[in-house]
Amino acid sequence: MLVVFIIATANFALVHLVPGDAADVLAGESGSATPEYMQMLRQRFGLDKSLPEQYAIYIWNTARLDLGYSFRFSEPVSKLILGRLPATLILMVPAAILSFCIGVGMGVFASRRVGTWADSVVSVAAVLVYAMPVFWVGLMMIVIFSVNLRWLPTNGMETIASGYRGMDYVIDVVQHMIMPVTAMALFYIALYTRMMRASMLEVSTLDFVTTARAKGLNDSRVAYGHVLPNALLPMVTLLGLQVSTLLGGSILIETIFGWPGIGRLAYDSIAGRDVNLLMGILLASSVVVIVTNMVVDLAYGWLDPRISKG
Amino acid sequence: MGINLHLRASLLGVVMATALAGTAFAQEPQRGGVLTTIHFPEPAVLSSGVNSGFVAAYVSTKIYEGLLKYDRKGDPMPVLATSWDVAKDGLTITFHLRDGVKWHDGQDFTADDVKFSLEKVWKVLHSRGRLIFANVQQVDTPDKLTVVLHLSKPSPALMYSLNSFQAQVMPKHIFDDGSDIAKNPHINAPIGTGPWKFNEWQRGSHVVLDRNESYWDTGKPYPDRLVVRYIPDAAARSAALETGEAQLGAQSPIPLSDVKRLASLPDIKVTTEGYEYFANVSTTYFNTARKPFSDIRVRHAFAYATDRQAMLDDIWYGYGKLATGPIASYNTKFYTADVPQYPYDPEKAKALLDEAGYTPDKDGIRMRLTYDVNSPLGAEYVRLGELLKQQFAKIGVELTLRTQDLATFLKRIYTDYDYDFYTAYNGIYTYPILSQWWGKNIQKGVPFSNSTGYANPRVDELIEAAQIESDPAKQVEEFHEIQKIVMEDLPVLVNFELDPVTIYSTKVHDHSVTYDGPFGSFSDVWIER
Repeated sequence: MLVVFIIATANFALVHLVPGDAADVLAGESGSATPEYMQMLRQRFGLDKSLPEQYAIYIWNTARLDLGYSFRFSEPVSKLILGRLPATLILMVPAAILSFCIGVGMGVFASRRVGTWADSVVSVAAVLVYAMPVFWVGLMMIVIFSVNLRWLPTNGMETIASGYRGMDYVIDVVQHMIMPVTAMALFYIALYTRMMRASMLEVSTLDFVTTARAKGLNDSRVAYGHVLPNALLPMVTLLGLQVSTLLGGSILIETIFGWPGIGRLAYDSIAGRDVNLLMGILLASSVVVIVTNMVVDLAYGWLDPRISKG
Repeated sequence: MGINLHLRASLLGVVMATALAGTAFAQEPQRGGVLTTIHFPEPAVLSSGVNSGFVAAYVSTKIYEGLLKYDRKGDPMPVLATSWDVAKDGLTITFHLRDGVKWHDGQDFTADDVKFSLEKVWKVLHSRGRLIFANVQQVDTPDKLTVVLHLSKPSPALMYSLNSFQAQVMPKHIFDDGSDIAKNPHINAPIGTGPWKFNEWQRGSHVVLDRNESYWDTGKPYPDRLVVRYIPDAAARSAALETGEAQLGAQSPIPLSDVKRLASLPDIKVTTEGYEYFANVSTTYFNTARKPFSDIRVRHAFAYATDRQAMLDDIWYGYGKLATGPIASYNTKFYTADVPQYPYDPEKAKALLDEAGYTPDKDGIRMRLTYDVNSPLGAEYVRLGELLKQQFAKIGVELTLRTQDLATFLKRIYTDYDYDFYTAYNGIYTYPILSQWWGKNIQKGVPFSNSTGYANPRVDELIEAAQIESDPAKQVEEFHEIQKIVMEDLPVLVNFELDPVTIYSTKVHDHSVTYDGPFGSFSDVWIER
């Protein structure tokens, strides 16, 4: 609770340090203005009040779980965020699951063949993918699969006004998901692969693995029964980090693929100096981070009983 | 003989082209289909009444209508008003409204809606409307289909500002419930009288509009649906146009570097028509309130040192033409070419700087200045900064480029006045208001007020006179004199007249039939099947 309060205060301070306000931006987009017009805007947006007053209103609203009203978008902040949530989740959750499973699989695969050509291929590929900028990968996918091959739609989340229902609709959305989810997952796959490989190798040098081998267990039993569960711990940390960014979305992926997620909403709110909306998104994201951290801590205890006892 | 043959061949070509154009023109509009268009960026709201920017206008001009529209020459044509009458003294304007028009929710459109929109929205919430309608003192509605405006002073700009881009008629029965109009949920789910009905807006993705089955102009519009998609990445927008996922993109939707490539594709066309109403001029603004631009010789030197042709060719790929003055030549009524000109001449620029006392130091540098890059307007403006840095280096001026986001930029220019010079474009519209040269419009904290600090009593007098002048011949005289003085004083540099492009599929017809082109209602657009 205290953490949330501190975060809310920090958000408020940060957001108000930026030069310019929502009235400037609105007038700027309009292409003309008068002093009365500026004053009317500031009054409507509550920007004519003093900073301490604005801060008090903000904290009071936050305490009541009221994220406030976005004057720029003429809609309540909670409605704006919830409206973008489904799109964000169906992009980020499959990407997280996909990257975790494939990354861990590849890491184990490579670690069990250390020094062979297969290990080299996986490791080099991981470094390459890790080094490729996400936006470049996304654009190349559009050029190859949409413009040249015409297999997949260039962007968006669904065929607009298609009238698809049931299964047709699901298939349509999945077609739109393929490229953004893959582009999003690729980076994390590389990260998990490298981490998992290193973690497996590290754990396999520990004493208890030597003991297991001495007992006469075969390689697979040692690898999957003893090394893998212990090597997973850092993976959970990484997964926790990835899940923490879930709500924030990915501005790059959303921008390239025209995906209506929260990342861009946050970006727009910064550019538009939409203070209420930006603070709402920041607050919601920080709550997700706090909750994820708690879950990760609990998962540690479950994976490694020593931690909860300690 | 050879010449003759050649001539005949080319003549034949002209004849055939005309014939082809003729058949294309004679084609009957076809019903049906979905027109998917792209525009960028996504608007914050869907009503121009509360946000008068281009992006909200692009969608809302399809849903709401104005009293009038303007043909390709800028002359008024009936929309919600079928006839109008401006009194000789310019102080009374009567509109007769179209009978039988219904709002999208089935209610009747009446004179009360016009009165409400003018008094509560245009005059109060609309940034330009506040100026344009300021002299309207009283609005009478003698019957359901008549509106009479009583003005305190003639307002010639008013009759040029009644299209749906400037003044959208909004339904009184929806918005006039005493609460904040801008907070009404229908601001983002508009109910209008136009050819297109609002269906859905998925933020971050698209807006869907449906054909208005009971539109007053029977038979129109032709397609079943109009979709506006918001694709944030420029390269992805190109891809969507190239694959045909979108069939029209207005207002230079993709980087100009990519336009030629798309134009060369067989099923894509590019046009610069339909932006005459906005008549935008690329303009460089000097801070005349402080050194060195307080010295007119320095401003003249910078005018001679700017290679505008290079600017137009290298950065805007030739989409535009060199400007001669602050009013674009599209504005045939008030434009004049008879003003001082400043051809590219770096030697003359150096001489002027010498004269002003800015001589080169041991490194050959006369002055160090900061140029504020107007990056929110697009990548072109970043490149422009780089080009200017090179150009001005030739006369011994060292530029530092400064980049910032829109809000920071506006605050710096219009509130803090903490800048040397910057470039933007200036929309003149049909009846120029020219408030950026008006000395009394130096207003701290107001975007797009007079930021240069320029004040010339004679110009002020002329600007004020033109705004209340009812004699057309005198209006022209006044505007011509303003242009001459401004081009002599040079508080700004006029670079070139911008030609935004519309990129569209060869199957899409009649999309830009009015003065405001893609910001018209799309009531005539149709898709060839």
